[in-house]
Amino acid sequence: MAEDAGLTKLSFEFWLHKTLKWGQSTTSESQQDVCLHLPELQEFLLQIYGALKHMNCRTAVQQFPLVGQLLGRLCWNPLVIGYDECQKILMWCLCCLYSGEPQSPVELKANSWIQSSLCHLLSISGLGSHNTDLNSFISTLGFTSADYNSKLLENVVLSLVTELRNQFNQFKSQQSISSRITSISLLCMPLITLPDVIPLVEALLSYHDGGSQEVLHSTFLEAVNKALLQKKISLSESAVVQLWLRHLPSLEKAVLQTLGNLISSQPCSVQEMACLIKDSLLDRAACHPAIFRTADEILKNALLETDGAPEVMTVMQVFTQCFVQAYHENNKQHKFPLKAYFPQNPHLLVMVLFKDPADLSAKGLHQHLNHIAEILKTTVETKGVRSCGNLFENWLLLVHFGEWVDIAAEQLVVSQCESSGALLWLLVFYYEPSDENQRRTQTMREAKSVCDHLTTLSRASTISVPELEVVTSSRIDARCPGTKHLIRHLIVSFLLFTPGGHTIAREFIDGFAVGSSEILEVIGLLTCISNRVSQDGVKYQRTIKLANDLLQRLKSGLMFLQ
Amino acid sequence: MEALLSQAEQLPGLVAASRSPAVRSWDPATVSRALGWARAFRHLHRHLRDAGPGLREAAERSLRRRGLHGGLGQLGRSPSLLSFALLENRALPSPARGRLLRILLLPSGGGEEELLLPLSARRKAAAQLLPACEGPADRAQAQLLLSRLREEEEGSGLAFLDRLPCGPALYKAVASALLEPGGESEAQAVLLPWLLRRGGGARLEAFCRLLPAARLASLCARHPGLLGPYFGLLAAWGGRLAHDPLLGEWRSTHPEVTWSELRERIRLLSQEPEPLASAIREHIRKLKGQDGDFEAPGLSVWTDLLIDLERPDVEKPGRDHSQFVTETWSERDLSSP
Repeated sequence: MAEDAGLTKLSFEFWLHKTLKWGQSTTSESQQDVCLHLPELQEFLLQIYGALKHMNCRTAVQQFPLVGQLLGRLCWNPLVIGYDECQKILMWCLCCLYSGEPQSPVELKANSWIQSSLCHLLSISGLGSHNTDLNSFISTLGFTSADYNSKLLENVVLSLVTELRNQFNQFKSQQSISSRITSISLLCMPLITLPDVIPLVEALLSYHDGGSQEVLHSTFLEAVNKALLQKKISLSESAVVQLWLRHLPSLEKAVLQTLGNLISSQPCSVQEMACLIKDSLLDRAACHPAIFRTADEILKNALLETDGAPEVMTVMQVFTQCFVQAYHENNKQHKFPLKAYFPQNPHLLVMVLFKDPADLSAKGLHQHLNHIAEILKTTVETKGVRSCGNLFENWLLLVHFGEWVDIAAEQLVVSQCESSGALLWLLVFYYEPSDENQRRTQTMREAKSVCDHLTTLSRASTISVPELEVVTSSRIDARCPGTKHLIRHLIVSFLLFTPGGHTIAREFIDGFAVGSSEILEVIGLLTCISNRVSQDGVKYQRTIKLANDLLQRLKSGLMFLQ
Repeated sequence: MEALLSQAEQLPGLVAASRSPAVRSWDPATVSRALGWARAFRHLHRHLRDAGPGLREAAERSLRRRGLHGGLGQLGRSPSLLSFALLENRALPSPARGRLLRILLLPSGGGEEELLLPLSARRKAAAQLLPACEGPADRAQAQLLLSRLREEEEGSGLAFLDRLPCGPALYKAVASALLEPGGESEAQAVLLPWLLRRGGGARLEAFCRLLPAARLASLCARHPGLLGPYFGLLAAWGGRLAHDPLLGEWRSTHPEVTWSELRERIRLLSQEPEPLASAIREHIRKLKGQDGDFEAPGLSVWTDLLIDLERPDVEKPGRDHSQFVTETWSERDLSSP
């Protein structure tokens, strides 16, 4: 039987040995050992149940002679009973071992033992003779031990929460208080997914004793974060922030999991990505600079390791948008200055990028873009501060606020005036930050010529697909990747924002993006642009419809390729 | 509906039977039938709970007329009452128990108890694990008592309390309920009248004997109406003490009354905030006057108690300590026949 695979004599002996050891000691080390083994133990119990449900008591005892001893001992370990679904599976096992028609002494003995174990698990606990008195009092009230246990736990939790909020008894020494908190947090670990205990979990997470040492047990912190990421529990926003502030590994796991979800969900709409981010609470937690910087650092590393993959850039942009929104909505708490989030960048630059484009008129937008480009150019080209690190940090800042680059590309293809050098520089810097061997200068020259060509086309009354293809065929192929990306961006903007582009877009797109990486890149561009302009739905009605059409076409093309 | 409610009349009988040796004659079919029946009443309870207030009140009246004092609430709890009663009843024969366990515990059992039982075991384990200090068990009992009193019809709370078995559990629950926030109206309407009822002196005395001195002091501070009767008891206890001039201490022919016990109770009362602290001194002065107003120690127990109260606390007992002392005293007292 496949289910029996893990149920060897050895495994029973292992767990029985563990249970015996746990029963002999109540030290924190022993409790920690229980807690660390609980998930594995639950798996083992499930395997036992899988085997027992096809057997009667006699066969079960023949096949697994240690099963009774093991289950019996586990019933008396509150850490095991309190953990996740252990108590349920244990009860299933006991139920399977019960004989409706006991024949042998073994079965009779097993029945009586099962009866006592279940009573122990469920009935009201107390001390000695009070037990019966209390039991009969509760039942004459018309309640059961389930009602009592529920009320009891509610009061236990309430009393501990009050104790935590009142910073504990003043007469006790700080050391004894701290060790009590550590022990409570460890004992909470198996109970995290029990909704009654959530107020205590939250109170523990917001408890600080003023010392520099972490007072909460790491097993507890890890388990809370795991349950949170698996959506097994939901905590208040402030409790989550506290968890991530006090336990860096938890924050890192949360960011990595969200990043993984975002990458694997692509291609998807910006709204879907924003939903994933908001669902993770990271956008609001990031209002705390320490959390923002850690999350941002992980995204930066991802960007570096993938050599600036467009998917990661999109993630960074959407994450920043969500964060900026949360930052503006966060009126209640103390607001940190922007400098705290981007300490490596000039404050003025952060300020101009933080501005919401929706607040600006068309003319204002153009001026603001020029302003951004000027500040950025001055920053990266100023002698003395001109270092690789400085360049990279400021380029990264622009990547966060990539929306401005989109707007710059739109302005370049629609506005027919000549003063677009600053905007073009912005776009070129975005795609080709390094000026090694004057690469940026070269790109700038090529971008300028593409732009001029597009401007000429936009002035013509009608255009044809081959006229636009001239741009792509002659320039994209043999160039460096930055230039290719840039030209694609300009062309996509041309298709979406100019009347001429609209007429040929559907026909043009099929020949334009052929390989799957190109398709993904164009999908990314279309998604971001259509998300940006959808906030001004009336003005961009045609653009939005066209972008959606093109997206559908490309996505079905992508499916065909895959 | 009326026909169904008339069947509910048999519920208390069924629950009582499930707790009695009568289950010896139950077979698996009886267990299934009884649980099925109880579940049908829970269903009815939900239906009525969600119905309009008119229908609900009519049903509530009809149930009480038929002897279901807990009304609709009891109807809803009947499956769990029955399940727990049967689980804990050792007289249930194996075949019937086998069926009971399958219905209640296994995933295919199809009952809500399938979730309730593991949850309850988990909660019990959690309450055991977490090291709370401030009497959550007392509060839990008090809250259950209060919620049950709220289910009673107006005016029938006293009769309900009378039906409960008198014992430490009830007294402790009443005392905690009197201190429970939000229990003020039940305290005034039911609990205090029950405790202070004319002719109920023995009950009050048992109540006061059982509870620790500190608990009674807080009760008197919260409910000033309790102070007079409680002090009356203390006065009677004091009257039973006689001074032993050889040993220089107050002794009693009644082993349940001791000088240190009395002194502790008076002290804790006098430590409560005003006006209680002054009232208690006033009471003692009056008794001292009745004894002849002697100032020398060893003649009147009240003189000595006053001297004790005025004495600066050299070895002021901590509250926790005194509670412990009186608690052990009370328990020993109760266990002796």
